[in-house]
Amino acid sequence: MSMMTKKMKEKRKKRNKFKKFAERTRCRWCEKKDNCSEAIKIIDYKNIDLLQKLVTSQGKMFSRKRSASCARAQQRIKAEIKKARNMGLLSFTG
Amino acid sequence: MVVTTTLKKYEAMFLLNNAKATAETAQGVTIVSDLLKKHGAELAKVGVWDERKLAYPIENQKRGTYVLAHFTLDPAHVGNVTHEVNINEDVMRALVTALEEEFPTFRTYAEMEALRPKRDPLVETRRRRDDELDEDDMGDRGEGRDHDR
Repeated sequence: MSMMTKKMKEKRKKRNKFKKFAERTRCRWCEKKDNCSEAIKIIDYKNIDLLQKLVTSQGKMFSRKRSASCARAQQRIKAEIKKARNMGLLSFTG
Repeated sequence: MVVTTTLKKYEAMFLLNNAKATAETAQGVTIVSDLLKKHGAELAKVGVWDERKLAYPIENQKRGTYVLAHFTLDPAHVGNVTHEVNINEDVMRALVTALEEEFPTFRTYAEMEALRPKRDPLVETRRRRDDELDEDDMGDRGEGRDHDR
């Protein structure tokens, strides 16, 4: 029994190790750059392949947690996706 | 009183009907540049961005030609341009966006594709995370069957 608890403890430790990958502390876009407004300029309605990765197969936007973006980046993603949809570059639905 | 107008920089994308303007003949560029010049725009660059399949049919068309234009224009005339675009039958959709800084470098879709890094950081992080999780991950099944016996 004692052996099992030891194993359990190890397992719990492992789980905590994975946790740090699950939760990001910094935004994906401005992680490497200091200036956030400069970093999010890559998000553009013409950059379709990038926007395609930020929506589901049904065409819905990913959450901030899923896309690992800060509030400002998420607002920009929202605006650019809408522009791309309106121009027929991105679909409204799957 | 003299009203001074400050010209602003704009970027516009036009979706043209393929029947009227094909990428080969560059008819689309003349349509767009004529339309903009009519309203007093100073063109910096006009060119075909891409000829591609549309995400959904627009005006019963499955394909279309995208023309990208960089120009300076009096902000009061932007409304006239959009109004003209709505009437024009060659142009199916248009999007005019104001630029805060200098004109960005003009890149077609093919050029943008060529510049894209091969290994996407998005994919890379996902792959790394998967590799970490694959390392003897037993899920809810416990460490092994032999320990209970």
